[in-house]
Amino acid sequence: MSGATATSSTGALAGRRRGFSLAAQRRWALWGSYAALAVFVVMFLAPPFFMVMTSLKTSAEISAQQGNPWLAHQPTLRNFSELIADSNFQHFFLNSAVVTICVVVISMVIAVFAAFSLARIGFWGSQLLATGVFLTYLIPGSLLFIPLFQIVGALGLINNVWCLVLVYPTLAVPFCTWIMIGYFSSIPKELDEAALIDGATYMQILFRIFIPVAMPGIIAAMIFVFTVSWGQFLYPMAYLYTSNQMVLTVGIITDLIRGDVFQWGKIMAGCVIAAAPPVIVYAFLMDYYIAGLTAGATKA
Amino acid sequence: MFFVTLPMMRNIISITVLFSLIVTFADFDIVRILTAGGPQDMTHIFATYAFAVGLQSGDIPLGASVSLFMLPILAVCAYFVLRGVTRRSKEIAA
Repeated sequence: MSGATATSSTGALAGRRRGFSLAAQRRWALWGSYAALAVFVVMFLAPPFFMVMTSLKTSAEISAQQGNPWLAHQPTLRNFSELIADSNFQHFFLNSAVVTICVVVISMVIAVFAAFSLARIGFWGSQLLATGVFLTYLIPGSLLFIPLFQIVGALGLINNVWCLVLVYPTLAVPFCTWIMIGYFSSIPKELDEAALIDGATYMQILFRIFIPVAMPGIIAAMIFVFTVSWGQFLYPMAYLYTSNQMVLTVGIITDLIRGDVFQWGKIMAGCVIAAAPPVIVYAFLMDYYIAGLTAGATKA
Repeated sequence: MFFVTLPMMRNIISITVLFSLIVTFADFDIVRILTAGGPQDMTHIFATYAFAVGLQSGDIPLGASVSLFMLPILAVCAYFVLRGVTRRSKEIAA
């Protein structure tokens, strides 16, 4: 909305000079944005649509040359039922779920405590430390996976799904802490001053005031951790190699592609099942996510 | 839009640009799944090449140095973007 008002205020001058009315200009801007957004929607929805369609086909129909590839002519659920009955796939799903839940819990606890202490308990060097937390987020995972491989190996956790629980927070905690710092510092200082006068300890301030007030931010950070740890590909690729320890992302790749044989129907069915939990989570918590992100991001 | 909205959003935009730059530069998943380094190592980027050298061929030091090559490039970009951001937020505060 702010974009629309800005265009109309600056566009008033230009519009009069060129002989366009303000209403006509506004109409053009609206049509333009609808057109651009429609292009983006089609672009981003085409791959998932194709994924769902392919997962509903039989392998004969997938390899058939004739017919429209965007539609499944005899939709079948056989890919899904075979995949769900597959014990490897059950392992993948279970591992993914366990790892994700553990990572969400661990990194949210760390991030909330860290963000509270960095944003509110102003100790010596807390500003520097907050900047440092932000800078760690700028180091990509593909730079860290070889050093981490040696650490994980020294701990004896190679090819063990629990190493992911140890490794994922290194990706998730900095960003969450950063978002939560922004969110916590947007809470008015009068609130915790009032609580301090009433005799609350810092712990009570955190649990009674900050966590309830900052709930949208916490949920946004949680969704972020969930997405990261559910969809992470590089680390499980590097650290896991037997199929009873794998998670969904890597499991689909290694288990359903044997050399040059691609079982496309099953691959797509696996992708649909793997994509379902994030979609469900987003659908329910979308409003929180947007509110939390914008409130946190502006206070960097 | 060009005189009010975009200048006010400059900080956010530049941080977003920095993040997407880093994520794209250090991407692994898409290259790995599509070509895995491809015909005769033609489509490797730093991340996949580090993976191929370091873990699949077992030469961990060489792989680590390949991925460390990303660091100076990204650090220079991050330095300039973040310097611009801090300078602008000081201007707003002053």
